[in-house]
Amino acid sequence: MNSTLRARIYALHGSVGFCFGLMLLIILWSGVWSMVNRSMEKWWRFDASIIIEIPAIETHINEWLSVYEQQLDTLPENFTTQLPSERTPWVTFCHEQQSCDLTIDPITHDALKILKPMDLLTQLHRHLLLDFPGRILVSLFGVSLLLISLLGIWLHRRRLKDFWQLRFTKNIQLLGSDIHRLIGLWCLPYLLFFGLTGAISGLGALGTITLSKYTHPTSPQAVFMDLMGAPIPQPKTTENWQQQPDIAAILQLDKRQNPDFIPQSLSFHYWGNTDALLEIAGIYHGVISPKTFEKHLYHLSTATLLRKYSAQDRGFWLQNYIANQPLHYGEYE
Amino acid sequence: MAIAGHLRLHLERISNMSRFIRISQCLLNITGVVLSSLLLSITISYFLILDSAINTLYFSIYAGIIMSVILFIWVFLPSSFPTQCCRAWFLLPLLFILLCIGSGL
Repeated sequence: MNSTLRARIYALHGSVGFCFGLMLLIILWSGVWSMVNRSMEKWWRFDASIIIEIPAIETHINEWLSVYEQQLDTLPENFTTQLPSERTPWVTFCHEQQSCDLTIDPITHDALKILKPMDLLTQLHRHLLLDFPGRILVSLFGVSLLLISLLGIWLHRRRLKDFWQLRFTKNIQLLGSDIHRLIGLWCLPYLLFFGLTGAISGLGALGTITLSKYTHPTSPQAVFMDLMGAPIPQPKTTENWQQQPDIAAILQLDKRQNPDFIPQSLSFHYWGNTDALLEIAGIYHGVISPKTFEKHLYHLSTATLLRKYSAQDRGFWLQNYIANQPLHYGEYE
Repeated sequence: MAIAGHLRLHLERISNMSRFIRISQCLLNITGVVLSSLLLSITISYFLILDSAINTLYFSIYAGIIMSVILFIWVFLPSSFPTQCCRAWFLLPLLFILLCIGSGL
């Protein structure tokens, strides 16, 4: 490498670090806290009973729904039940607008207080409290993190043998440079991984909106249908059911047909109607995809599977994009 | 103290007029890189047909992001400002458009 090129790369590495260093530090640290947020959430719930084993959903779902019904007098037309998991061993009920109004202990059925002291940091990491433009901005910092890491490794590629070297001399700048190199090399895989997945996360959303008019020229909105699945069909009748369908039986049926599937949430649509629907969202063993993209839709009264969406059936590049979210958020279960 | 000194040095450099010109050139190149990557993404999403439209869309997004990182590094390799501008604004987009037209896409 000639000296001019090295000097230029050094200057670029230094300038990007100088301009974006503080913001990158804030984004990285708030990101670390966001990752442990769900685990920390368990710590804040001092009122939750100590659950050694998560109770079987099929045997308890009807009880949980009765508790929710008692709370509201009558169940809403559309609502979602977040099922207990190892990280969040409680049941949460939410309205369709994502407003969660009850969280209960799955064993004792006691209502639990909702404490989310870490949410501000999560929001800061997601969009710097600036909504969608903030999300894009954070993603651009992901690109700069990628750039700064690649340039850094390029600069030090011939000095990898000095990996452990820390020169404790009177020259503070020399020691600082050694520490900088050591930390940089140690963290390099993480920096590249989170830089890339972070950049794809926000820029992917921007790209989806921007490029949909070229890939879906007839109806750009159809891109969301292509991505998330068709909307929930409207009921064909206004008649109400005579008796509440057996939800536990549907869950057992789904478990038999999909033994590798772990349900995480149940969304009920048009509750009370003869054409009421149940959407089971969850994850598959060995498939890197969040519950947003793994869904089974059932007709409640007849217990028939209407449709099944999974990342496994999608194209290579879309599968990559879908896998990006659990990888970046550290959802490796 | 070392950090404060380093910061002061950078601020002094930025306040220098030649530094200001360099930063302007740098911003011009960054804009070019971003627009070139965007143009690449649009070109791919418009012309390329993979197994499904949604798959094409995400391929073009990946291509744009990878392109922006590669192009960013390439643009700032030692060269004159006009060469950098040419790389950032004209050269690669032109090549890709010619490639797309040439291959009948």
